[in-house]
Amino acid sequence: MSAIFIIFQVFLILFLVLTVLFLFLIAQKVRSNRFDRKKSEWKKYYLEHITLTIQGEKELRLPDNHPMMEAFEEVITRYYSLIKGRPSSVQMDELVEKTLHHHYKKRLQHHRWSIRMNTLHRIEKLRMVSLVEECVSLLDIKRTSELEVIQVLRILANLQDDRLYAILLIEEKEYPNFYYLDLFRRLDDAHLDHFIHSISDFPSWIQFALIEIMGELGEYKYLPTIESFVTSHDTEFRIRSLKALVKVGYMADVMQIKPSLHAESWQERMMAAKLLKPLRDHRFLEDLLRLLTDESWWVRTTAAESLLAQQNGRTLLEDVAATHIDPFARDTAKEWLVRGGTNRVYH
Amino acid sequence: MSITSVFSTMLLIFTIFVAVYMVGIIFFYLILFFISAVQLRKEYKLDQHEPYEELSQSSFTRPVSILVPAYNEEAGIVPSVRSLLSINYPEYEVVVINDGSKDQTLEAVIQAFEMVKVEKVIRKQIKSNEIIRVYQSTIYENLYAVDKVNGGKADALNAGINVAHYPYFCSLDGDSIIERDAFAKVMKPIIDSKEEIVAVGGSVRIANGCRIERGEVMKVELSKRPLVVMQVIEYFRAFLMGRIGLSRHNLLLIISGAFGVFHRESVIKVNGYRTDTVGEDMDLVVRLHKQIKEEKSGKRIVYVPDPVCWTEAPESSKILRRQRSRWHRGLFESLWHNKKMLCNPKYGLVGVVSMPYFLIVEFLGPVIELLGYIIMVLSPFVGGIYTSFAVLLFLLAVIYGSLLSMSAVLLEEWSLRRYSKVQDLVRLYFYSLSEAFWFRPLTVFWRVEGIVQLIRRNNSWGEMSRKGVSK
Repeated sequence: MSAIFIIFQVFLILFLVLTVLFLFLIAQKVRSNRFDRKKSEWKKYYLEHITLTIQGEKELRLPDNHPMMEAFEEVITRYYSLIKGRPSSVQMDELVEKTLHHHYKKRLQHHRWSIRMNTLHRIEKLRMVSLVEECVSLLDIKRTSELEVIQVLRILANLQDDRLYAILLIEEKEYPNFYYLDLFRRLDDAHLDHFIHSISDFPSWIQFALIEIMGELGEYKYLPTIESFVTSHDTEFRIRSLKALVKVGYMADVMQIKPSLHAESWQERMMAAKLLKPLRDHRFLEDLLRLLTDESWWVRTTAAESLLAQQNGRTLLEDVAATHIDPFARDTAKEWLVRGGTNRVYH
Repeated sequence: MSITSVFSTMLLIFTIFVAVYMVGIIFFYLILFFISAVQLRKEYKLDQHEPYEELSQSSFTRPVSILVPAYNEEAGIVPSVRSLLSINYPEYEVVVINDGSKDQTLEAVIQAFEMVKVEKVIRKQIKSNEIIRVYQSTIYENLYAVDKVNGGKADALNAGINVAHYPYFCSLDGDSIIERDAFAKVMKPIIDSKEEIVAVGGSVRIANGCRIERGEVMKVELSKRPLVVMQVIEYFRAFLMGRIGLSRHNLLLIISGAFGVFHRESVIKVNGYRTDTVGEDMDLVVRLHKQIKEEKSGKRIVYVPDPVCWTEAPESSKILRRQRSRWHRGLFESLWHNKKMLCNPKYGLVGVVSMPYFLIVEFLGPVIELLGYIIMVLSPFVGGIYTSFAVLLFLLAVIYGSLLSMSAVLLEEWSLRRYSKVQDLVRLYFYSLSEAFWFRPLTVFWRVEGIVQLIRRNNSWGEMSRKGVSK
């Protein structure tokens, strides 16, 4: 009997709690719907008036309550999204600083992660230089999450702030590769060069990202740096630099890749074989023919693709398809003769 | 001992058994509820667009192959493909796999997107039925169509995996509607984790009642049909409470077939989808877990709570019934094929928590619940103390069926708030209150029906496993 009584009590308590919560959420919903209505009215107002204000033709009503503030934020964010990359007008920047500086300064200290995160994204988008110090100071706070740190670094990169260099140099934590690439892509030439000149001072994961970005940019001035890693003792470095060279499609001292064609890791052999496609160097025909019998499918198919691109490549490949003793080599050659070198191999 | 006393002892034992079971489950769900609530609240009102903007424009994101298996979908295939071609993601390809349709599905796609035959040597890494031809669109370079011999959805997906070029692929139901930022949202955890994730499941929501224009959900509204409303609540319960909680500890065993992104190489390593089951989506996830544990790679399978995909729910009880008993059979098959993992500490928490949970709660749960209903009906006839047993079970069933669902509804409102009308919230709340009284028992019957069908087909089962051995 007592069991029933306990369960009944639990049931009753749960039911009451849920109903109270339900009523509370209903009230909140009514309020937030009213809020949204007001906000959308203000949004209309700002959309209509903001351009006129910038041109100095009209005085704008600055936000003095929450719905107004959110409406203003959304309209202004959309504006900055549209002009992405291009400089915004001085009047616009002033307007942003005037209205949002204090609001955001407070929000950066908010206890809820999502609010701090949203604010950091907004600061980045609206290019609010005045708040950089506050953002950087977040880095020293313990509760700051990895994604927040990355966002702060992005803000610094956008502003070409030298602190980015100093921070990355001493940071022991490894962030996802994507974010390093994203940071370096934002830097101008001079700042990126600063990183590249001292590439060896950074931890390996940052070096990887720098090698990749150099390949992505494809500029000749980076070639010596990339090539210096082709002879590295570390396999990963060799693979990364070969991959970057594939992107560039050129290298000065071609003979350096010879050992990679017979390396232990199949990824390295594949990257080296792939690089031979744009290089088109007759000294490597023998190596490519040998790679057609490689144990890895990826190496065989890449070697065939590169061979096809060489002078005389088609004839050589036809020869392999017809007479080679290794059935794998014959198949790979046939496959590429069918593809005709039009379809590239994806990785 | 007289027959009556045997009967009452049995009744007592069963009652205690069912009651203990129910209390255990309620506690389990409450724990999951709190884990989810903390997680969801952390991201409360996080901007829906800003964090993904960089990702959907950067050239450093990983490309994705979107696989769309189609069987007799002449009517809907062209608009679905068209909406896929407008998603926000830097690099992707769409591969429509015509699984030997008997109607004009393939012709419709070829005509609409001006496709031509391409010479293509396919590297067959997973077994699938023969691929007859591959077509490529002349308008959209990243759109392919594969014509193959019929073999079912799982077989079509396997063929698609063979054709796909990119390191990640997404399996998709032809009739589901994808949010434009869906891929940025599901790929973000992969990038944030330094590619330590082999599969990501998206939150699937019910599209019935929503306003849909040109393949996009314009306004989220609740359907007028009680059966659909109940399914909406069920989805809240399963996705918001169950999956977030499980995903947090890498215990997730289900990624909905309607939307999931997988690491291609990992899926190839486990030989792709199993073609002889109705639960191929769950089966794949279970085998991926197995692979992770056997390789000790420490990789993860996660779930994204943001709704990324909308799907049409069945509106009639006839189709719903069929769907539920099929799901239940699929669940059993996934457990049966991977029974080695059950309670095996070698497979970590997945082996000792997830698998037993799916066996006891998800699979056998309906049987125990049905037993509870029977006791509830019988006990009052015995009278005396047994009437109070009935009351006890009834209370537990209401807590389990209704109160937990009500919590899920409130959790949704407290965190994601996808339904904007006050009226919708009120309806959801009262419908969920009614769950224990009609919808829950209905689904219990349907699922038990699934078990009965399994037992009836016992013979053909034996045949199937023999075929597996002789291969």
